[in-house]
Amino acid sequence: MDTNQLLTNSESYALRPDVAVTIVGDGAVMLDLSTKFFYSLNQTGWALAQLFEDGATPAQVAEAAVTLGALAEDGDAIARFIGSLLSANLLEAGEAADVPQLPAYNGGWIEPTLEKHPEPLQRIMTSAFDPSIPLAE
Amino acid sequence: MAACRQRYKCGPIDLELICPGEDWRQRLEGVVAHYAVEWTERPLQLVVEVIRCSADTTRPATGNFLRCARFVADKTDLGVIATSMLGGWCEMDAEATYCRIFAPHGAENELMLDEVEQFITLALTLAWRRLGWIPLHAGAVSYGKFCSLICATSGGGKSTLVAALIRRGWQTLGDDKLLLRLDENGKPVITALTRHFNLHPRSSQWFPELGDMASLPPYSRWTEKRQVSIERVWPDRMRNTARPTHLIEVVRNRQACGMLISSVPKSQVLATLLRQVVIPEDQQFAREVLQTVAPTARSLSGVRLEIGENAYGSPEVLEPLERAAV
Repeated sequence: MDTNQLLTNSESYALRPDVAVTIVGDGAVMLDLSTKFFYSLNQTGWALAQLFEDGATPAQVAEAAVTLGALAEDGDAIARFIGSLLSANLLEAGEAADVPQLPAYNGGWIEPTLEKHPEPLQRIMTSAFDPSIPLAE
Repeated sequence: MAACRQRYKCGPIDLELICPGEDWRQRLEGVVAHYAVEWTERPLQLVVEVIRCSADTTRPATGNFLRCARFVADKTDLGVIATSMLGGWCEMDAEATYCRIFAPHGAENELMLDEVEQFITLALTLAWRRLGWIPLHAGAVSYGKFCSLICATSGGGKSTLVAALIRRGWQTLGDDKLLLRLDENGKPVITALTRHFNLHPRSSQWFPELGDMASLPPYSRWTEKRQVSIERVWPDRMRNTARPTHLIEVVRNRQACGMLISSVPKSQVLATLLRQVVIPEDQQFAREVLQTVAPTARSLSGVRLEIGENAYGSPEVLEPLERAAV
C-alpha cells in the first residue's frame, strides 16, 4: 500500500487490547503482551498513536497531524509511522470511529517514530520473582 | 495431623503461614523467613494455607497471567489460580489477602515442596504488587547520594559484584531481591527485602572474611550457592531504602581482562530493567509494571560492565566502575 493509498484508507484501526502502554517523558513505551516485543514512541508518535486507542482511520490520523503542525510533505512520514504500527501488528481492525480527539500536545511537529527493541522479553520465567529464563533441571 | 500456624514479616506483608504440620512449616520457612526486613508502613495481612489433598488435574491453568518453569497461572474474576507440573494448584483472592495451596499426596516430596515454595512466592509477589511495589530481581549498592541497581541474569555475577563493592565502603540493599515503586513525586525508590546474600563457595577465594562457606545453609537444592548473612560478615553495610541513580548491566566476558566499562544508552537501560521484572500477561498488571519501570529507567544513567575471568583478583580493578557510578 503506497502513501496515498494508506492515508486515504477509510478502514478503522484500534490498538490491540493486549498492548500495554505507558507514557514516559514526552513519548511512550508500548509492550505487546502476545509477542513480548516492546517499542518506544517519540512525542509525535505517541500523540498520533493515541488516536488509535478508541479507533481511527489513517485518513483521520493524517488530518489530525496537520493540527500538530504537519505539512503536506510530511505525508510520507505519517504513512510510514502508521505502516510501522500495522506491520508490527499493534493495530487491529476497529469499529467505525467518530472523529478522534487529538490529545493535549505542546511540542512542535517532528517526524513520528516507533522504535522496536530488538530482543523480546522472556515468555517463561524461573519464578514469580525471577524473570530469568529457567535453567534445565 | 494438626495444622501449624506461624507469622512472618515479609517486607510490607504480615504473613500467616498455615501448614499441614510442623515438618512442613520448618521446610517452608526458608522461603519466607529471609524477607524479615524493617518496615514502618502498616503491613498488608496475607494468609497462605497449605493443604494436602488428592491430585486434581481437571482444571489446569492455561498461563494467561504468568508462565513459569514449574507452574502456569491464570487471572480470573475471583483472583489468580495456578497449577503446577506435579498436579498441585493454588487459589489467590483478588485482594491478595488469602491464598490456598493444594499439595497432592503421592507427589515426590522434595519436588512438591519446591512447587509449594513457588506458589508462596507467587502469593507474596501478588501481595507486594497490591501495595504498589514491583518486585525487582536486581542487586543494589549505594554510596552517599548515589545508588546503583546491579542487573544480570541468575548466576550472572550480581552477588559477587555487590560483595566486592561492600568491601570498598559501599552499602547494599541486597544482592538480588528488591522492591521498586514511584513515590508521590514520581521519583523511583527501592527497598531492601532480604538481609542475606546468595554466594557461591568459591567467593571466599576473593573475600576471605566469608570463611568456610561449606557449613552455611544452601540457597536451594538447584545451586551450590550458600546463604550468607550480610551483617554477620559486613556489619553496618545494610540500608533499607534508597533512590536509584545508576544502572549497572553486568555481563560475563571470558575474553575480557579484568573489567571493561562502557556507557549504555537510555533505550538499553529500559531494556535491561524490563528484563529484571516479571511482567504478567494481563494488561492491567503489565501497565502497572510499565508505569513504574519506564520512568525509573529514564531517570537512571546506564553503565555496562563486562567481567573477565578472575576479575576480582585485584580490588583496584573496581576503581573505574566506581568513577562511572558516582
